Amino acid sequence: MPLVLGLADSLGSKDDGFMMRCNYQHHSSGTTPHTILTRRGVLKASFGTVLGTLLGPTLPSVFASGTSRPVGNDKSVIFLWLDGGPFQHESFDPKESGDEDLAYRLKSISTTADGIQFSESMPWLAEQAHKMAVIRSMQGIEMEHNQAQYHMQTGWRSIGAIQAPAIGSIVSHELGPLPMFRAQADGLPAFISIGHAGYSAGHFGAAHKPTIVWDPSQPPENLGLPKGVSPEVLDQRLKLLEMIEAGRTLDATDRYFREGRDGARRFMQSRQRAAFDLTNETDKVRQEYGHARIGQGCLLARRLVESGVRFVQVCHDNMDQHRDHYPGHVELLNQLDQGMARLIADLDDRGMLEETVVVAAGEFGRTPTFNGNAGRDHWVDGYSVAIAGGGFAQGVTYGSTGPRGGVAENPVTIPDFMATLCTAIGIDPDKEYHDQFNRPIKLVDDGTIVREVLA
Amino acid sequence: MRESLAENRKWDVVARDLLATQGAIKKDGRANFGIFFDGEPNEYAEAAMRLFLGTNLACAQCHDDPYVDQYKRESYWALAAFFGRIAMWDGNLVAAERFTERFPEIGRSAQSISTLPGGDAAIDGARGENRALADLDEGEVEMPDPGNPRTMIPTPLGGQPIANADEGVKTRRELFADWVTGPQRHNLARAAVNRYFLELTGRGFVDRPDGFAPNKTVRHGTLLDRLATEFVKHQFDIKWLIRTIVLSKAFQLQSAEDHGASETWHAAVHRTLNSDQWCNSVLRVTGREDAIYGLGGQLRKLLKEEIFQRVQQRRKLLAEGAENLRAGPFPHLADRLPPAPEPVTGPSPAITDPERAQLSELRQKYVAVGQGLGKQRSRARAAMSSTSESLMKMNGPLVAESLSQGTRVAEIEALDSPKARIRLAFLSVLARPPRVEETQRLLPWANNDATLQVSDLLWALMQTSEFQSM
Repeated sequence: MPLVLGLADSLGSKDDGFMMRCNYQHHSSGTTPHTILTRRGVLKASFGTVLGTLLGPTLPSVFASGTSRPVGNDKSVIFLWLDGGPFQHESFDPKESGDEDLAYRLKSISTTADGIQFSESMPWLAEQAHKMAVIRSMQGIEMEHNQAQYHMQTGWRSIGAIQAPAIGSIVSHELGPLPMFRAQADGLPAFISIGHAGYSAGHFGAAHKPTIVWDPSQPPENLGLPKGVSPEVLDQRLKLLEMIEAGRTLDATDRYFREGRDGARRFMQSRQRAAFDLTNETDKVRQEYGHARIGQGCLLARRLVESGVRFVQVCHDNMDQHRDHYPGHVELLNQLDQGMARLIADLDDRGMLEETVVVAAGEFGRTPTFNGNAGRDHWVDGYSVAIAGGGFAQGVTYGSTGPRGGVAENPVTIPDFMATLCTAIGIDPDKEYHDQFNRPIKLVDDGTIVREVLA
Repeated sequence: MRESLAENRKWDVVARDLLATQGAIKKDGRANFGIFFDGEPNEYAEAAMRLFLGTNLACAQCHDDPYVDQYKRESYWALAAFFGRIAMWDGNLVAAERFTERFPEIGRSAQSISTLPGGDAAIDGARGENRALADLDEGEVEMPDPGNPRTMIPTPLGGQPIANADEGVKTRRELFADWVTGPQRHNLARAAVNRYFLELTGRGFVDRPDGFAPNKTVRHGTLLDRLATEFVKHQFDIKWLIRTIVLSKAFQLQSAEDHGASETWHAAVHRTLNSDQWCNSVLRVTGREDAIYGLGGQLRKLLKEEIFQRVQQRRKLLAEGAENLRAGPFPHLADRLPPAPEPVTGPSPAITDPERAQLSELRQKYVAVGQGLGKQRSRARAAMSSTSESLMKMNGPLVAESLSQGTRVAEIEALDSPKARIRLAFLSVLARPPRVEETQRLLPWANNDATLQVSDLLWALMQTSEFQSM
């Protein structure tokens, strides 16, 4: 049977979505059956029929045998990648100023965390602030996208001699799939990237590059068979291939392609693939997350983490707006607000927030002042990273910026941030590995852990 | 670079081109290499050493190389000093600031840049492609030691500091080019021979184009030195080098299933195709390339008309612009306009209305095909070396569409006997006839199974590692 992972076409208009945002407040106060069990709880629970109905098609096979023992930790990461750089002072580090050249137009609003304000572009996250840790004093070095993205994703500055692995590849390599799914032959890949091809896997190699989902409303590209090709035809073709290659002694190249094909086959036939099908969610839930890619991506990320994926990266639409900052950039911030807030609430409702880190970060921030095109340029001296769950402190901020931008206290470098994130998810940032030239290289380039944002 | 290769520019001349050219890249593409490093002298030096001498000094940026005595931090930054006197203009804010920081007296105005050597080119660059490069008479590179920053004197690797580097008529970059193409010419030749050997056969005398180091063993070193000497004797003639390699037994060997091959070179080694090679190969072997080019050929008449119109319009605009400038307050600017394109000779081709409608439709189709392929190519690039790669190759649209839209399936189906079909399928995809045992394995199945489709066979052949590697 061909894979059917299509999507119901219509999601309603934007206005409906906005109305739904109001409804979701009521929803989140109610209790659904999902709130009863955490992943860890599931492991501890006895194997009753109730599990079957709750987990449905994503029931992992290890349960059936009853022999599972968790290995490693249960932490997952959902990394919201704010590609291009969001404006810090109209999101997590709000400022108001009368100075004309600063041109901050948005107001600050209070949040559920004592003494912490967000920008009015983030009304939904303001409701979740008591679960969040915000670093407001990120200090980067690189001013251009490519170098800055490499730095932020790997914790290393881009120098030719070293290809450092990005955080998703580090997590995939160090932790692998979640323990309760590890024994499965048909489990999902450990690292999935939504809307973006991802960055270098460095020395960890192809196995730790992300599997790409370009559009969260669609299954991963090419997971289904092309039109006119039935599973029987595919079997026939593979049989032919086997006959052609029979008797060949496998060299490394043969093994690479063969293993790749086997992995792809397992993925195509995996019972977990239903996790990619957002039509399994109600229209209401889908609207609550927001129609934007980041919103639907957040929803998909939640489903994937539930199905054993260790690291999901969700890429927002490009935030690099050098002209006409308003209203476009604020709209992007609104979309992030809706998706991320719903994600945090949802994970919390399901008892998964403790084990799941949600991070929102871009490669840098944007200038406090306007450029000549009513836009904002790249800014590395004082931008924000917002984090929730997974062993981070709740309802705190760290570091601050001055009235005209610029780090005022407690600067946090990119390696500091990486070291902190690694520590929170149980990876030693000082761990050394050997690259292809047998040089010892640390996972993170000498970062200092920011204990203040850890629980 | 493309022009240089086409005219068979000698490799030492190319080296000098890339190392010492000043000017605006729009006028002279050779200057682009220097601009690429964003005004960072050490990165420029590092790249020059890797590209032309095949040595990677990157470690020595921060520390003395623990394995190679010669690779000291100080030597690294002394090499960088050859590249510290560059003014770079790329019209954007960051570069302009850096520029101003380095040369505060010059400021940011285009007017003052014109006072620099090569400054005219810089102004043109700022207006055109926004990028230009000029060598200056001043500017020093300091080794970034906290507390003890030292001004570095340009020093060739393993050589003596060039104390009077600044007295001669040559720029520092020209001095570096002199060193690379002079005392270092044997190493320049070795690095080029290794690079081409690696590219053409999949293995080299060292494993990477920049894999030479005093502590690294070179495979078949005598052969390398011999080839390098001959390459120098042939005045760094790249065509000679390529010809020599492809005529060698090493290049023409069949591949074999033996790991030792990459050391002993008794057989060719496998390399996987990169994404573009794979895409092009799929288009070629399925006969889809012909289908696409055929479509383009039919459009020639329409394109010719458009070029004619575009040239006429450009000439008209420039003439009007010059006239307006001459009448205005800055008449001298009229002379700075770019030259008008040569007029197209002959009349615009006549196209009848029904023909035009038909051609426009065809063109839309052609553009759509191109856009679809462009997207598939970029997706293929992104997917390479991950789970997504295998999915793409098995289920992706490029393979499926090429099988259904290419001409190959029909060509093979037109053959009567299964044996002939198998033969043409192998020839099409693997560029070799099937071996006897391969035909024997496939024949019974082909004879008995009515559901065998030619497209299935082509698909299977395209999944072999033989097809996906070279």
